[in-house]
Amino acid sequence: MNDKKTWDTEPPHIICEVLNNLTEPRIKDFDCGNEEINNHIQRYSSFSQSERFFILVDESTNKAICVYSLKATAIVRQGSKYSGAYYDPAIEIAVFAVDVEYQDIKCNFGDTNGYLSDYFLCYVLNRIAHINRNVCAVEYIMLFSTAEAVHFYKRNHFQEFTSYMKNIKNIYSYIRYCTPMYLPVPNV
Amino acid sequence: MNKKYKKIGKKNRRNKKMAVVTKPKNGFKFGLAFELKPEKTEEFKRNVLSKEEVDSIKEKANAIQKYIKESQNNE
Repeated sequence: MNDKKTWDTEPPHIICEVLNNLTEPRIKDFDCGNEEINNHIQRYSSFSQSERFFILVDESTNKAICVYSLKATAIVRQGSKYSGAYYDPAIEIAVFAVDVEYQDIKCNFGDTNGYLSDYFLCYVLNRIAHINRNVCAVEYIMLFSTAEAVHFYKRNHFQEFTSYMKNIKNIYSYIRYCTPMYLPVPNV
Repeated sequence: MNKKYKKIGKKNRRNKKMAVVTKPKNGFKFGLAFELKPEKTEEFKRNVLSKEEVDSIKEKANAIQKYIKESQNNE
């Protein structure tokens, strides 16, 4: 990991946009370092019905520096044999990707410090908390992390969901390269 | 098409519960359900964020929020 880059100055001015046909040119050169995620973003971002994509765009260059997507999901709990299953409302961060140019940058904004990616993730968490307060109830934030990003999510208070997951043996072949993680929605 | 992908594809057709799943390389997954183990439900429900954890998220979100504006095209 390259820890050399630091930003003590002000960050660029950023615009948060929904990714659609109009804003798609901004992700043309986007590269998060993971080919699979890059391909997914380029292929499905503007028309996918199963997740909503957003981009954080550097206003000065008009290029996306962070891409994330959200989708509604639920945590399924088994009830009694008469009541059936229960569903705890959740939002899945299906994609969270920061351009390689902006990864591992240490920042000091105001009284806080951390990596720029942490700030972007906290921005996303704040938006989900806003949805919880103003739009519809959300209890948990879920995601599947790549192996190399687990420490990043743990640093931002996510916990592994693997030990709580039912049928883990059956789906092991699907999740062996990634880690299911969760975070109770922060009341920010 | 690589062999591993083919194998997963077959498995997928046998078990329809396993919905859309991308190629199992590089750790990018999509469309799996989050089902809780019944015996772990209580333990899972007890896990909440501490005040310090919430404050840390709040501080960072507020710090970056000043520099991010919502596009008017989002409406």
